[in-house]
Amino acid sequence: MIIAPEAVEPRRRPAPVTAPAVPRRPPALLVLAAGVAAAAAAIPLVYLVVRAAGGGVGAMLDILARPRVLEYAANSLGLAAAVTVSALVLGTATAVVLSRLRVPFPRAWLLVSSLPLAVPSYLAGYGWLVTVPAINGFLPSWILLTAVTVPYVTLPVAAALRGASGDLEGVARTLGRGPVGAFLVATWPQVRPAAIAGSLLVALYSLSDFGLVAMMRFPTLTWGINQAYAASFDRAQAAVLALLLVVLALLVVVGERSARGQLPRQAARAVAPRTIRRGMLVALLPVVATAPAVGVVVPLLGLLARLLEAQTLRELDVPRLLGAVGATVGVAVGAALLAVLLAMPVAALASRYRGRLVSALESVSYLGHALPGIVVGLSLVFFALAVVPALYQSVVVLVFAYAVLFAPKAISTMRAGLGDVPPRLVAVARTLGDSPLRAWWRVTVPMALPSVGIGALLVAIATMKELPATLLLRPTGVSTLATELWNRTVIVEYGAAAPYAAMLVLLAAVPAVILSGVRTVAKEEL
Amino acid sequence: MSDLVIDGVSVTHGSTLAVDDVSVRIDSGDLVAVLGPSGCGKTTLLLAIAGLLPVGAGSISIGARELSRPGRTVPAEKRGIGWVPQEASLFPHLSVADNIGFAVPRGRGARRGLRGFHSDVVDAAAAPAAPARSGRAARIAELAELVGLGDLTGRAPNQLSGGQAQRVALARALAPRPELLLLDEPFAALDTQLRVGLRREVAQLLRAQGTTSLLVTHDQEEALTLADTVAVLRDGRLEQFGTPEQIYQHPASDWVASFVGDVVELEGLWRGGRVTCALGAVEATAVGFAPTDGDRVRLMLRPEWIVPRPELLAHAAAGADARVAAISYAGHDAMLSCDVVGGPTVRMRMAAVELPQVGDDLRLAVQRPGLAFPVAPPPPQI
Repeated sequence: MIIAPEAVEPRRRPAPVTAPAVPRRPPALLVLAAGVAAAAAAIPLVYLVVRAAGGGVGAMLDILARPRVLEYAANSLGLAAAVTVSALVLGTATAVVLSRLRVPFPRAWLLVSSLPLAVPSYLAGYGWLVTVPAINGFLPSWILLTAVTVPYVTLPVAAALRGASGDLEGVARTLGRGPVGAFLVATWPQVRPAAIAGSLLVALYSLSDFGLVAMMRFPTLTWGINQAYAASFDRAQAAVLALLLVVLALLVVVGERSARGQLPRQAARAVAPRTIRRGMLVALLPVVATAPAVGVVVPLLGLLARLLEAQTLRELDVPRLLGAVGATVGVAVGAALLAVLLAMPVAALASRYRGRLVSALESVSYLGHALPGIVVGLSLVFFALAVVPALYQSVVVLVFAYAVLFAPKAISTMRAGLGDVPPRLVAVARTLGDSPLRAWWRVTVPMALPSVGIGALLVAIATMKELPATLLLRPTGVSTLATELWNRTVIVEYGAAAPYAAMLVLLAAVPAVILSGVRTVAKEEL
Repeated sequence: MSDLVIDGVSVTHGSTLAVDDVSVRIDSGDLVAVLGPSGCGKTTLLLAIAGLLPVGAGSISIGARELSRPGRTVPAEKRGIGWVPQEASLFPHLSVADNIGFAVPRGRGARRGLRGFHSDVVDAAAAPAAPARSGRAARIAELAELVGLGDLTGRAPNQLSGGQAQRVALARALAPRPELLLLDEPFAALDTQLRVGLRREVAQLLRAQGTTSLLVTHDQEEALTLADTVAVLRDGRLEQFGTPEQIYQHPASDWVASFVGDVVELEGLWRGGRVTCALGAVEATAVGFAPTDGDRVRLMLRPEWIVPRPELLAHAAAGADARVAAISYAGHDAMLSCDVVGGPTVRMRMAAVELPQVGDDLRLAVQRPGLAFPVAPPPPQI
């Protein structure tokens, strides 16, 4: 029997979704695997608490009361607060300009405004030091951190503005509000959760940052931890400082999660961008262009100028540079594989099942997102020395540290990818004779494969840029591009550092930019 | 034979009792429609039959093989029941050919799929040997041809139209020669013209294959035109199970009557098998109760049971004069609203051959016995 295929048909329109076959209880093996991943993620924090509390509460309080410690804490909090406020203001303004005004090449501008995310803070610091060697202290730290972190606010706020219903604003206008008043009363409440979540990410980044503040010689907690551990070998003080930093970071992350929970999900008719005079556009250019200029353009130009100097090229140690490239790529690949391996069961569990146990395992696995790199590095030094001395100063611990730090990037991408596979398709495979495992392998995995690849790539990129944990954990003789750049910068050998900085941009920043152009989801994870 | 027996099945979906004590026996080879308004539990029932939801009470079996009872659910992959979901749900990462061939094993070593699927349910003589011998590609081509998509097997699912995707989903479900095929509103997302054509073709195809099929639908016309038997579901309970003619002409309740088609309702007095109402003393059957003479009852008629020119009818004892108030023309037939003299307005349907004009006087009669129901809160109008 032949049925003639019809010539023209409308596209399938969405129908009410039936949700078949969502088993209530997750398979024990999956829970076990996710439990292992969560346990791995918990090691640094747990061991840090053990170590810091080891000297007794009295000793801890003594350390906390030291004037140096109070100064570090005040500097960290002050810097984080200043950067958060300035990034919130600048990021929101940028987002409003890009999504509410008719600017030429809007997509290109959005990409440009996300560029600073690809540049590690210490690279921006290096690029400025090369250009203006005299800068140091709070002011340059504040300005540079703001420039680098503004996209954390710009991107989610721009997305929220696109998703916010414009009808409400129109209603407010017909009820007598002016354009600004209508925006504030109707649209801002829809955007606020995104702005708050984004600025708390900025706060977290500022608290955790080590490379930039150290280059600017501004003594924050991260700098203090490194000093206490590496310079004065005061490990008790290092542990207490790290614990203090973790508490602050966790507070910020809890706030960020709850703000994110209030994000509206509905897609609605957005307000069409308004056309304004060319003169106004030019006047608004600084709003959009400041962060990319300060965070990306100036540092890269400074780097390029120094790289092309005759002396730099003459003194270029090619074997050493290639060695650093090899080490960087090597640990990045190792970290990506391990992180994906740890993330897989957690993502599989979280994408399909609900319940207290599931969300607890998922939250613990996300710990690395909240832990500053220097804290993970310090804690794993303690852990390796005390528990697995054979592995101390081995590449195993280093890769493990990366995996703990960056597994959350893999989890969130893979969780989204696995969650996007309709349960109905898996159910169809079941009715066609596949066992649950076989259906997972034939349907879920191939459909989620791109998200696994992107997750791995995100981890690899983050690993290549990582500095503080690498400084603490790298085996003797192993140098990554980041540590080579760092070691030369702190002894003011800017020229010798230039090739490593350039290589780091090529290896880490360029793929990051390409990736952010490919996938919007990936942007915030950079 | 391997009939599908659903015996006292209840299914809880989330926290609601979506299917409540449903018992149905479906003969092998039949095409059965499960008809009900949205939210009546028909999809839930289908998922339970497919083995994708456990039953809370009762049992589901095919022939001698029990598939579901509380605490024991034969997994979906071991049932040999095909499923065509709403919205086709093709595997987006596979070509049309690979979608169709999803359950057709590759190569010689992998016949486990087909045989494991059916070894215990299919008569050994009719077992799958034939398609396996001619190979996977041949089977896929045969199925693609069967559903009229022979030249599209190389395409990706997102290059298909809605109707084509449904054909692929049907071929995919038929590939492992299921004992029973479940179709969950497969035509709901298509536009009217396409829907009518495709469902007729699919029904023919299923009958030609001899596959027992269960078609879930909320479309009365679809159920009545396609199915051998119709199961009407309401709020998780089975209201009626019967042939389309039984369902339409002899509904088991006033709810079924008004759900499966248009009704004209008149109040009247019951007397000796007739209801005296605005249309005269109309012969009627009492449904679900035993009225005594003088009781007030509700008389339900189908609009096409009311006819003009009663002199043409042998038993048109009853009759009433009426004036045509409005005509709603639908091409093949028309719905007339007529004001009965000294009474209510009734609607009647007649073939649109020689239609009266608005304002014409007609003498109306009822050409077959109506249905009498107790006077009760009015049923929901559809």
